[in-house]
Amino acid sequence: MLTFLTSAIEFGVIFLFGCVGEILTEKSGHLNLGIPGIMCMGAAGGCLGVKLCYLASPAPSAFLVVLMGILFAMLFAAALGAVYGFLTVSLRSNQNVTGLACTIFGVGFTSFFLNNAVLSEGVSTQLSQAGLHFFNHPLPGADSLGWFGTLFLDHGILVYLAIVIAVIAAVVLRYTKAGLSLRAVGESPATADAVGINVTGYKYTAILLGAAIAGLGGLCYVMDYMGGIVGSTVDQTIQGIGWLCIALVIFAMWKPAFAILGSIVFGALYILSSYIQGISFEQIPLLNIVPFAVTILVLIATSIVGHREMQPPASLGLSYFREDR
Amino acid sequence: MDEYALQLQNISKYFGSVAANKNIDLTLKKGEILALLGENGSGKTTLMNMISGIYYPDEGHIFVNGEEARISSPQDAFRYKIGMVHQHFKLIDIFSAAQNIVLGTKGSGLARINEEVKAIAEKYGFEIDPKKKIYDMSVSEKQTVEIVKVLYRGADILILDEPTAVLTPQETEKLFSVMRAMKADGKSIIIITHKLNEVMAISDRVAVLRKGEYIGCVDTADTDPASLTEMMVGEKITLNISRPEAHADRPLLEIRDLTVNSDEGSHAIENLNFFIRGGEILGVAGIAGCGQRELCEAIAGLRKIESGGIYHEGESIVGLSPRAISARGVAMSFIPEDRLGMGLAPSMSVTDNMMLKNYQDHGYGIKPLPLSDEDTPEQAKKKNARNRFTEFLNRHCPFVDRKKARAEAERIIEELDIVTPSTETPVRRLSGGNVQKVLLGREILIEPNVLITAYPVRGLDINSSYLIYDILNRQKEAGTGILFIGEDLDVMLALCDKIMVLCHGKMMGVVHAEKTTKEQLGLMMAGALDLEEEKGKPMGVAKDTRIGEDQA
Amino acid sequence: MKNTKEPFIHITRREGLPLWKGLLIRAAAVLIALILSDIVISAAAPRSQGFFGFFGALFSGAFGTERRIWLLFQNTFLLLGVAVALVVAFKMKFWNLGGNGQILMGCLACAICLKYLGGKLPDPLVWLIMLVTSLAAGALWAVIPAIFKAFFNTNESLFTLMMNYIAMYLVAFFISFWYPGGTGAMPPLTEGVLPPLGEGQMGKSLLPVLLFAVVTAAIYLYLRFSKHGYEVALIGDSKNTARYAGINVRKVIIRTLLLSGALCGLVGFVLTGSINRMVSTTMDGNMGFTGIMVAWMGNLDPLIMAGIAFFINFLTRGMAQVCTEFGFTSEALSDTVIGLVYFFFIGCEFFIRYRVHFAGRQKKQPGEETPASPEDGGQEQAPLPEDAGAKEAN
Repeated sequence: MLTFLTSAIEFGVIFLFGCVGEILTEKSGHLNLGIPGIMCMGAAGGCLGVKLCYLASPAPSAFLVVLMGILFAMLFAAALGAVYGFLTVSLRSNQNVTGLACTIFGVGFTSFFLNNAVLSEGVSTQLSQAGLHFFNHPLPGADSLGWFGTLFLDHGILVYLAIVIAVIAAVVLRYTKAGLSLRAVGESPATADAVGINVTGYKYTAILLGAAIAGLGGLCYVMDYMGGIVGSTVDQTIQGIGWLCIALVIFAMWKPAFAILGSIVFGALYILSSYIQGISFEQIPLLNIVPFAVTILVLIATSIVGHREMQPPASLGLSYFREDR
Repeated sequence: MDEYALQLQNISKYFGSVAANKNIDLTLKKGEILALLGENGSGKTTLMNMISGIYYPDEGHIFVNGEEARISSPQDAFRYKIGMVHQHFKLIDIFSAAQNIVLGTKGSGLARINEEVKAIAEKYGFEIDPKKKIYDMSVSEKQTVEIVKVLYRGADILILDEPTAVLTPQETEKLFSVMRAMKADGKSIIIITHKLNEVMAISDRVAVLRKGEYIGCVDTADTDPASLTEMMVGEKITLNISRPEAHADRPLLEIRDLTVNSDEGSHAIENLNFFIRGGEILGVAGIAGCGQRELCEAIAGLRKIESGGIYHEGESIVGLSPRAISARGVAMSFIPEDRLGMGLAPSMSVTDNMMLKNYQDHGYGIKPLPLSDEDTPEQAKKKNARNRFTEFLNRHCPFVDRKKARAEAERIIEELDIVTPSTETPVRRLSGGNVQKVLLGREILIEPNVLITAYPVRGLDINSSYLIYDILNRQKEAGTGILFIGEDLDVMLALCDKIMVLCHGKMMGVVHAEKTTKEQLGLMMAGALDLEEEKGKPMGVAKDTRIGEDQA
Repeated sequence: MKNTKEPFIHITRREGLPLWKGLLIRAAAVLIALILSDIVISAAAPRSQGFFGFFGALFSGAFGTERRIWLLFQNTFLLLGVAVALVVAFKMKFWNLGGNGQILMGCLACAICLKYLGGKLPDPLVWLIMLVTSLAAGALWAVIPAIFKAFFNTNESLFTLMMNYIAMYLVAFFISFWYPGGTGAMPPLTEGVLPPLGEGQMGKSLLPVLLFAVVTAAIYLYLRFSKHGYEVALIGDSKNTARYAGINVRKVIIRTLLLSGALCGLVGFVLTGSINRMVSTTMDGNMGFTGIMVAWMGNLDPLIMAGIAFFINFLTRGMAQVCTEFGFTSEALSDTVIGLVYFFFIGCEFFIRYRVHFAGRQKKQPGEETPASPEDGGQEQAPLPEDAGAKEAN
C-alpha cells in the first residue's frame, strides 16, 4: 500500500506539471492542445541539458545536472509554447488547429531529436546515472522516519517542485492582482482591455509560463519516474500523458489546488493495474478507461449544474481582436 | 483653479462623411449635475465617448480644470479623473463586486479590497456587498458596481449613460440620492437621459443636443418639460412622404394584455393592448429599449410570453413555432443594433438568405399549373390534385431550389436597387443599407398580410429611405397590416396612420398621426403624458374584434 | 479604436482576397517551410544527399514505384474520407476532435463481426453486417457528445477528445480478451474479409480510393445543395437566425453528428474489413487529428481538401524515403517536417484574413476608423453615422 501511494504521487506529479501549465494557459483564454507535444519537448530538452553537462565534465555536480535539465526542459517547452502563442495570439489562428499542429510537431521532433541528436554511445548510462542519483535524490530523513519518510520525503526534487509550483499558481490566481487580471483576460478580454490590462502581454506570459511548466512534466517522466531510461516509445507515452493532463484540467475544474489532489488520483489510476492483486491481463485496459470516463462525467456534470465557477473561462478558444469591439 | 471641471470647445466627430457631433460647446461646473438631453441618434453618447477616451474628436478641444487635455484612451480619461458608466456594463460575471472594482488598478494585493470598497459605499450611501458575485446581481446592483468602480479609480467627473433606463422608479430614486451625495462631495456629474421628469428632479443645468448639434443649455430651475421638449425635438419638419389613404379592414393582428419578459427577467412589455388592421400602418414610438425588440420577438414566436394573447385573424398564435407563424403570413424584418444578428446569415450569399424562410417548401422547382376561370370543374379538380402532388414533391425533395432563390434575389436586387457585386456575395460584405434592403425584400417576397418592421431605414441615405417608404406604402395599399417601429418622429408623423407610444413597456396611448403633434409624442415617450390614464379606459381593443368571446 | 498615439502596426480584417492570391500566399508558405527543413536536414544528416537530393528523395518516396503510388492514393483517400466526415461537423462550428475514436470504433465493430461471424455466415451477409455495425459504432461515438452539446451545451471539443481514449482502450481490451497473454497485437483474420478488387497493391487500394471518392462527392453535394446542408451551414453561421428560420437546432446537431461519426466509422470499416483485416490501438493512424488539419487548411472545401490530403501523404511517404536516404535512424523526422509545414500554413492564414498596415506607410483619412482600400470598392464595413445612433440607442 505504501509503495502504491508513493508511486501514485511520483506518477501524479507528471500530470500535475502538465495540468498546472495548461490551467495557466487556459486561464488566459487559450485552449492549448499542444500540451502533449510541449511535454515531449520538455523531455527532449531535459535530456539534452543533462548530456551537455557530461560533455563539459565527465563527473558533473548533481546540482548542475539537475539545474541544466530543468533549464533546458523549460527552454525547449517554452520554445514550442512561443510558436503556439505567436500563432494564436498575434496571428489569431484557430487554437484547436494550432494546438494539434504543435502536438504533431513536438512529438515527432522529440522522437527524432532523442534518437538522432541525444542518444549515442554512453549517453544512456549518463542519463540513467543522472536520473537515478541526481534527480531522484531523496530528502534527509527518508530512511529514518518510517512510513512518513517513505511517503513524503523519499522523492526527487521535481516532485517537490511540482507541488510548490501548483501552490504558487493557486495563490497567484486567487490572491493577487496579477492573477485577477489573468482571469479577467480569459473571461472577457474586451473588459480587461477597457480597464487597462495588457491583454496580449498576459496571454503571452501565461502561454510561455504554462508551456515551461508543462515541459517539466516531460522531464519528470524521463528523469524521475523512468530514472533516466529513455525508451523508444517515450514520445508516445508522454503524448498519452499529455492528453490526460488536459482532461485533468477539467477534472480539477480549472483550480491548481484541486489539481494536486486530482493528479495523485490520476496517478493512482494510471498505475493501479500493476498493484491490484489477481487482476487479469485483459482487464487492464478497462481500468485505463476510468480516468477518461470520470473526466467526461465531470464535464457533463459541470455543464448540467451550470454553476458559473466550475465552467471553463468564458472566452476559452476565442481570439481577441480589439477592432471587433 | 477654474470654475469649470470640464469644457468642450468646438468638438466635432465624423463617421465617414456624416457628422455625429458638430461644433459642440459644453461646460460642466464643479460640483454640479448636468443633464444631457436629446433624442436617439442626437449624438449624446458619441460626445461622451470622446470625453471618456473611446473615440478621439476630429476637431475641437477638451479642457479639464482649465487645462487642455488629450484623451485618447480610457486610461487617459482616468488620468484626468474622468470616469464613464456605460449602458452595457463591462463586468466579469464570475468575479465578486470588489474584484471587478479593483481589476486593472495598480497597487497592493487583494487582501483589503472588501474594506476599501465598503468605505466608498458608505461614504456615498451605496448599498453594495463587496463579496457578492456579479452573476447573482440584479441590474441595479451591477450598475452600482460600475459606479463604485469609477469612484475607486478616483474619478471627479462622472458620466452616466442613461443610468435610469434599466431601473425601477424606486431604484432610480436611490440612484438620485447617491448622485446628490456625490455632488455634495464635490464631484461633477453628467447624466444622459431622455426622461424629462428625471431631468427636472436631479439636474442643475440641462444641455440639449439635436441631430449632432448643440442647441443650448439652460438652468433647470428656469425651465419646464414643455420647453425642453421643444428644444429636443425642434420644429416639425415637413417631409415629402406620401401617405395613401388607409382603407382599413377588420383587425388582422390583435394583442391582448400582453406581458413579455426581457432577457434579464424583468417585464419588457407590460399588459399591452393594440391591434393592426389590414391596409394601415401603425407606428410604434418610444425611446430605445422600451420593449420594441421583445414585442417583435414575441409576435414572431421567438420569445416566450408571460401572459396575454396574440391573435392573428382571430386565432391565437401563442405557442406556434416561428415557421408556423410565418406560414400564416406574419413577416418580420427587425434590424437589430448589430444589423446581422437576427434574420440574416452573415456569411451566406444573398441567394441563400433569400430562401431562409421557405427553403423547405421548394425543391425540384416544379411550378404549379395556373388555374383559370375557363377550366371545367373536371379540369380544375385535376389541376388542383396535380398541384398538391407537385407541392408534396417539392417539399420532400432533399435538395434546395437555389434557382428559384437566385431569381428572387435578382428580383429584389433589381426592385430595391440593392448594390451588390452579385447574388452570390455574402451579405456580410454589403453595406448597412443594402443589408437592410435584403432583409426587408425577403420578408416582402412571401407576400405577408402582417409586416412587422423595426428601424427599416436605420442608416440609410435619403433616397434609399424613400424607397423603403414606397415599398411599405405599396404593401399597405395591397392590404397588408404594417407595424412600423421607428426612431424619427418626423418620419412617423408623415408615414404612419396611427402611432402607438410606448414608455418602459407600457402603452401611453394611440394617436392619429394627423391629429397629433411632435410635442405630444415627445411628452408621451418621456412618460410625462399618459393618455390611458386621461381617458380612463383601456385602449387598443378593437370594437370589431375578430377574437371570439370564448377565446379571449 | 482610433488613437492619437499611432500604433506601429495596425491590423484590419480583409474580405474577398482573390482566390489566386490566397493560393499563392499558401504555396509560398509551404515552400518556405520545405526549403527551411531541407537546409536544416541537409546540414545535419549523417549521409546528406544535398539540397536537391532532398526533393529527389521526397518524390521517389512518394512516386518511386507503382506500389508507392497506389499506397499514396489509398492513404490520401482514407484521409480525405476522415476530413470530409469532420467537415460535416465543422460546418456547424461543432469541434469534432474525436475522429480517431470514431474510426477506432468502426474498426472494432468490424473486427467483432469478423471474429464472431466470419466463416459462419455467407460472406456478403457478413460484409453487410460489418458495414452497418461499423457505421453505427462510429455514429454512436460522435452522437454521445452531440446529445450533451445539444441539450446542456457541454464543451464538445474536450468531450470528443476524451472519447478517443475510451475507444482506444476498448480496442486494447478486446485484443487482450481475444488473445490473452499475447503481445497486444492481433493477427490478421482471414474469414469474412472483403476480397481485393484486383491484383497486387492496386487491388487492395482500389476499394478505399473508389469508395471515398464517391463519399467525398456525395458529401460535397449534400453540404452544397441539400436542405440538410443548408440547415447545417445556417446553424454554423448564426444560431439565432437558424431559430428564426424555424430550424430545430438540437435535432440538426444530433443528426449531423450521426452522419459525421458514421463516415468515420466507414473509414474504420475499410481499414479493418479490407486493408488490415485486424484491429490495433493505433489503426486510426492519427487521421482524426490530421483530418482536422486537412479540413481546416482546405477551408472546408472538399476539392482543396483533396489536394491538401494528397500533399500531406506525399510528405509523409516522401519523408520516410528522405530518412532512409539521408541516414536517419528515426522516421519521426517526417512528423517534424509536417509539423513545420502546418505552422507556416497556419501562420500565413493571418495574411489572408487580415491586412497589416505599418505606421507611416499609410496615412489614415480623418474620421475613418478602418481604412477602406480602393480595391475593396468600399465594401469594407465602413462605419456609418448610425453606428453612433445604434450605440446610443442601446
